[in-house]
Amino acid sequence: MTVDAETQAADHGHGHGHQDVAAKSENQKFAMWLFLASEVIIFTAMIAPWVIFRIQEPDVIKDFHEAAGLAGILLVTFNTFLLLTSSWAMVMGLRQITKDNVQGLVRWLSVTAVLGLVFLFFQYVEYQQLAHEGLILQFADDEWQGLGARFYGPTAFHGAHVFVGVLWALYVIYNARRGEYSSKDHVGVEVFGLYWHFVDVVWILLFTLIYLI
Amino acid sequence: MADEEKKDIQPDVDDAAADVEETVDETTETVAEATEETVDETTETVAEAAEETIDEAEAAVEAGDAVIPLGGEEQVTGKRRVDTEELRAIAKSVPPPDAYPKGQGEAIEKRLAEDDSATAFDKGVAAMVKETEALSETAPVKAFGRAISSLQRGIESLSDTPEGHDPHNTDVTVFRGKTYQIPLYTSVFLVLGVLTIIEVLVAEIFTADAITVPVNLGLAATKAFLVVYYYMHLNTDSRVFRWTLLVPVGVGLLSALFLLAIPTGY
Repeated sequence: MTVDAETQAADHGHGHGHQDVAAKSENQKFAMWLFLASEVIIFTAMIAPWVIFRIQEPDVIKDFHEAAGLAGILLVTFNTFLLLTSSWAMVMGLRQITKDNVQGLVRWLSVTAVLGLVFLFFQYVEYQQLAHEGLILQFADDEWQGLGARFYGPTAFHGAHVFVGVLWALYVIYNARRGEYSSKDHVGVEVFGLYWHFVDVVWILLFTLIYLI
Repeated sequence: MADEEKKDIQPDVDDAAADVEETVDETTETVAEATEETVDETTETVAEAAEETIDEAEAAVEAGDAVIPLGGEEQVTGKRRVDTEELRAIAKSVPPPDAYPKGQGEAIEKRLAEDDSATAFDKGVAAMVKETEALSETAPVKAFGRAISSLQRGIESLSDTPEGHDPHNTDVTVFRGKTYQIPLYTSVFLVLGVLTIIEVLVAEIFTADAITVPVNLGLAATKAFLVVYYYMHLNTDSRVFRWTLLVPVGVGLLSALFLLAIPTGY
């Protein structure tokens, strides 16, 4: 007997509550994945110019890495760890709600939101340092040969996603405190988790492509 | 395959099948004989211990000191009600068979000897554990264990989950068939952290693109895969989600490659 058939048999005569929740959950997750698919295309369109520039103008990229310096790399590495940790906190929170521990979910998601905010703060610090080095939002005709637009485009777009993610995390926390989620119905947490991890994955790729190669 | 070739091979296949059948028969017979003997011994020992234990348990329940799991959402006990979640938590706290150290029966017996409050129930359990341990060292039981393990591996190799464990269980980490008592998500996080450190070291130590580019791209792809597969649950969720991600990634990469083909000037 399949799981669905078992659920159906168990629900016979008592409505179809579990099935409804399962179907709603799958639909919402699929909707999120479709949204993320569109995000993949947008981010690809923004990252591709950097990659092409990296291949065609390796010396400018080398100058960029030197301008950032070891301190710059360490700052961004620290920021990367913030996002990786926030993703871990997110998934640990999800684990708590599958055990019906609402308090656990709220605690872990608070960590996620705070780490996201700290990430944004350090990104701002980094932008200030780079602007000081003359890297500004220019497509061409400056000392960096238009590297600015190729750098700020994807990283700032990613930063905006982190900001939206922080707001979303707060909304999920608010819902959790109102008792909206349980071990049987927590698709709201899962869908936010998909978004947040996607933002993490994008940063994993940006970090390597922009700062490490 | 042509029909003639099939005819050529047929006698060989028949021979092989006959060999296998004979071997299976022999093995079955040997194992059956050994098992029968062991089962008799075990049954006798366990029955003796169990009889004593049951008497004690019945007396305890009548006195209202013991808990009898009855199934369903709540378990009725002599003194209080224990919910199913609590029982599940207790069941989960029991380590898997690999984690049992040897000599448990003896250790329990020794502990009970110093414990004045030990009941006949406790002693019965200790005796059973000790007997079971002794029997687990005998050849037929070992052979039976190996047979079961082989069967399990066979079934696992046919299933979608190579580790053969429940991939929804994130309380433990299963790696190369071994179970570690650390949440799966935490293990993934630790690996992500280590890979990130390696990436930064590679970028700082090596200057040649021929090293940094392939190594760090590989590490980044691995990290991205780990997050997508475990944190975004592509390991357990519908396969449709995988394609929803892979198709735009493929289209994006292909488009980027086309950009590379554009002449850079003359």
